[in-house]
Amino acid sequence: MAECYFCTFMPIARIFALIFIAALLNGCEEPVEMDIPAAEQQTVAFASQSCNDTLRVFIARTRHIYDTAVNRGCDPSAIAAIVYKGNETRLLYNGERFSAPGFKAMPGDTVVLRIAGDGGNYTRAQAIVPESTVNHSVDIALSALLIDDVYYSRVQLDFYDPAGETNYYEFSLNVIFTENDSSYTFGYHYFKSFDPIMVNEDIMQYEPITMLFSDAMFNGSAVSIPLYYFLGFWNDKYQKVVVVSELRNISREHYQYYKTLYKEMYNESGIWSGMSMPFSIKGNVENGAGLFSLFTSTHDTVVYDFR
Amino acid sequence: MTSVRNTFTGIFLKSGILILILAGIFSISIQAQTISGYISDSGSGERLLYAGIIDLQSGKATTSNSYGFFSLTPPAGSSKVAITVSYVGYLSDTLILNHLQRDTVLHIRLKAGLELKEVEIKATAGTGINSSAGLMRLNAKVIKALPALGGETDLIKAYQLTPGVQQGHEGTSGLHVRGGSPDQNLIMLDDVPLYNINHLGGFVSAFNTDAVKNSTLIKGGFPARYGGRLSSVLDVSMADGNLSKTTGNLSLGLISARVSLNGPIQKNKSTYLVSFRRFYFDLIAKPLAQRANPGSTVGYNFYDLNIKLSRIINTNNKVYLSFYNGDDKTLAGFKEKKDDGTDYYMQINRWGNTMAALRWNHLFSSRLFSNTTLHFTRYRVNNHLESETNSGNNKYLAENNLLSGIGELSLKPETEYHINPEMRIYSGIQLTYRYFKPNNYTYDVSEGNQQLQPGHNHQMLIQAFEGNIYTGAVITRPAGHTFEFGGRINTFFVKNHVYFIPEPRIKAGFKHNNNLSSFISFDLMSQNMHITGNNSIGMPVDYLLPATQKLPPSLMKQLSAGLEFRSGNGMIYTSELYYKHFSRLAMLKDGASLWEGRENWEALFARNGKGRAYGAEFMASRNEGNPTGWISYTLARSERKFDEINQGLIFPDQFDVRHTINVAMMLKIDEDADLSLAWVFNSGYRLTLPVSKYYIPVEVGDYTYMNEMYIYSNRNEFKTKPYHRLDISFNFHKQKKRYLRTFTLGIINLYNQRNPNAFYFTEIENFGPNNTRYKRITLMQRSFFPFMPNIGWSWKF
Repeated sequence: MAECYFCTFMPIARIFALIFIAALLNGCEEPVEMDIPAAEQQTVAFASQSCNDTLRVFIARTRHIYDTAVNRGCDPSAIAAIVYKGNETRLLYNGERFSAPGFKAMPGDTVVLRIAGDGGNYTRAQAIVPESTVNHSVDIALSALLIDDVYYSRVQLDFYDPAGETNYYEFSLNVIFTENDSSYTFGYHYFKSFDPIMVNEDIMQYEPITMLFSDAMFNGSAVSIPLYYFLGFWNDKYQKVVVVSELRNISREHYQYYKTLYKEMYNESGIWSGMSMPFSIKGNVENGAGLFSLFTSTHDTVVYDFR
Repeated sequence: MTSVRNTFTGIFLKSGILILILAGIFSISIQAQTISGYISDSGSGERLLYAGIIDLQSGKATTSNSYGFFSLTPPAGSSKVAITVSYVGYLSDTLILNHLQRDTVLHIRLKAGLELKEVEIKATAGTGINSSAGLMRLNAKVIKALPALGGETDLIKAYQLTPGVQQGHEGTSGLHVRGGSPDQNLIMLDDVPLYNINHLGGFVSAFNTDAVKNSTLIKGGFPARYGGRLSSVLDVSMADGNLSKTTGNLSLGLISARVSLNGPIQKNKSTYLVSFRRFYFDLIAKPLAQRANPGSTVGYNFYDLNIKLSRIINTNNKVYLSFYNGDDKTLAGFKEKKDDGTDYYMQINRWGNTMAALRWNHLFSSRLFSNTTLHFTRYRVNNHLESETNSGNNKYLAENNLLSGIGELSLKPETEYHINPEMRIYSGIQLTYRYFKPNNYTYDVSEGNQQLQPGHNHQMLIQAFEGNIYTGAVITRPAGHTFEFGGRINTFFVKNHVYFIPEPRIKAGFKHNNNLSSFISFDLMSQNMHITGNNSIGMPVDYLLPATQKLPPSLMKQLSAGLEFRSGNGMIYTSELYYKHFSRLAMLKDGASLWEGRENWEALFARNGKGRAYGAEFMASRNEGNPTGWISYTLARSERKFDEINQGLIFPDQFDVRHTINVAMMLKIDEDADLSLAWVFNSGYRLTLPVSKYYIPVEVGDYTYMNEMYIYSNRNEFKTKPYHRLDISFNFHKQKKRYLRTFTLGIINLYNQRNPNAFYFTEIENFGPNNTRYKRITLMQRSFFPFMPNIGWSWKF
């Protein structure tokens, strides 16, 4: 008898199961009207650059989340200055950013950025240029690894980490392609690494524009990290390819800002997912938002001349 | 360290000596005869837990314990004793014992009778027998009667309908008890903790209702024998198996099938129970995926296996062996044949619990019962990835394995000494070795026989030892007043650091008359571990980590009080007030995750957090007659404060739900049909939303683009719309010659209310003046469970 019931049950169950699974998979997504009150406008300051370069600061204002204006540029009406060794220097708007021509900070220096705000309030940020400048070298082995039909080139990063307090690093790879006697630069961020240092930093989990890591696992010692990039320049159309690696010695604030920024950009933890608690990306700008960071950096260059 | 060890040893010795002295004094002073034994079901021989036993002449009463054992000592000189034994859903039995001149052991078997009397709500000292405050018991019949998603009845979902409990996100198995979080619940199967009870992202819990006999949720007034978590204890007992005949059950639902079998191994001596449940989505998904993309494999399934063996060795000894294994598995991959070989890729994720427990009940005397439990339990998440790529004569192999988990081995001897009907004391020691593996991984990449880079094998193991000693006394006065006081010392060793945390527990119940009673209780609870997750979606993304010197154990103090009124028509009205204070809480800092630096994980936590939760719970229930069920209302508030989160300001907990109404009703239509319905309403949970945005320039090579950034509101500043849903289920029974067949037809979300499971933003294109196009960020709500019918079929033999 049980078989009969089973036979009767199964076709009905199949139909119900399909309805159930279809409902479960499709679920339902609909817009929700949530009244989000206007928050107080804040000043945004952003600079992330080598202390050797001319200081350029992006200054803007925050806007309501539902604001549909397309303007994303700098606010030319801002009044900003830097305070360095007790001297205040007014920043000048150059049509794109606010800059301080001729200004140069050295490792260990403290630079303060001040932006005038409403009612005599100031937005303030302080950058301390890291003390040490760390030399590095890279060794490249083209097409060293094949994973899922993609050839990866191994970029072996070597440097010596100064002992002492925790150092924070940022590594990036730019490639200058020369083709038909003209050049363009491409910042690589298609990357894999299985090295414990990188795995520990979760860099595998998103595609980094730059790689941020600390010396927690190698403080005060020489380190050699294999990194795998998709460097597809064996194509004979290029006349010349120059690979420029950059190792930055950055502040803790810079490390944390970009870590959380990348996490929001590449992990499903931002406002577009809804799967976890969202978070504000905290910089070092007081009474405002953004990041003011000056770092030291070294470069290494590998040239492939195909001419 | 030495002095700490001496102090620890001293406390243990002093406590043990005190218990022995107390027991000795009372043993000497009592000369009366004792009636003791076990209460069990007359049909199956299953022990009945928490049955009531009353001496009709003296009015003294007691209850059977969690193993069905009771002990009652009538007043000295009583030669004739009449006792009545009662248990919900069973016919009461009265026994008359003449010429009681020595201690007597009884095995009392009750006949199942009042079918609908299945819900036992012992919120207060109403009967004068059990003074447990903040306690709710649901047996398997009630859980199975309630409407269920996909026909898969669920114990956790049933408790989500009780006052003081929030479910978390839509459809999930999270238990947020009185403002606590899911990791603050001690969830035990046969006295053994399970660390993660979620299947299918939390939509189904690990408890197979075919294997469950009884369950108890304690929200306040915690007996001293329980500890290790802050907010609640859910104690689930597996059925033992039938002592006299083989019985079984086969159930088919839309998403899973269950089969269970139990019976005697040796009649009236030993039993077995085997129960298996499997989710069969993969059986549907696999062929579909392969048809859509030949060579590909995709699937998800879970299973639960419960096994229990028990043996009555003699009148004084019984042993139980319990085993549970449950696993979820997802797999995705492909196999592609090429001219020069086969490319292969497969990713398998597994997570689940394994538990084994050996328990030994021993009767030293008619008054002294003991139980010794040796258990092992572990939860692990394992992500395995392997790929093989062939190109010409070269073969590249990559294998990646990530493992995280927690496990423990524990020994717990405990005793229960019935000094007289008015007083019993219980005590025990629990020694636990616990390990944490937050993240272990291995990685190998090779070309042919040559390893391209050294294989990595990163192991991170944190070991901890826990020693707990506890004792408590329960005093029941003839007038019906009950007092329970006791304490527990939580001793925790980790990373060369030791914590001693004394946890006092006090509760008192007062019987004002036959209808009205009240109680008050105070608890201090501690928790030796922290959870990393910052969401409650029930996915295996959370890591359990031990308390350490930098992140000390969390504490919770709770004061609760309540009233119970029993009307003459079988209705019970209860109300409870509670105030909880949390301290030393740990929570991941904004934006932090364990992935950011596992070597230095303690720094990722905001520490020394505080919290408070308070509220009032009201409930009207009916346990006898037709229909049965309850209606409850909860008014609650729950807040947290961390110096490093939300700028140090107090913020509401994500599941700080102000108003909750639950209705659960079971109606017997006739002998062959019954109806159950559940309606839940809450005033909405909390959200953090972006309120402002700005742009920053991000440079990549020659290219600079403007990245949109968001500034969020204060933590959990916004509130969702109210949540409400009505589920309904009909059961049609047909008794056949050899089996009982039940057909179930149910509907989840009868009136198709779209409740939120998650919120996210999207950009929607709009048209402005002069037909100009612009994009506007819009908040979207994702709902999982619209109107969903389900059917199920079961055969019980």
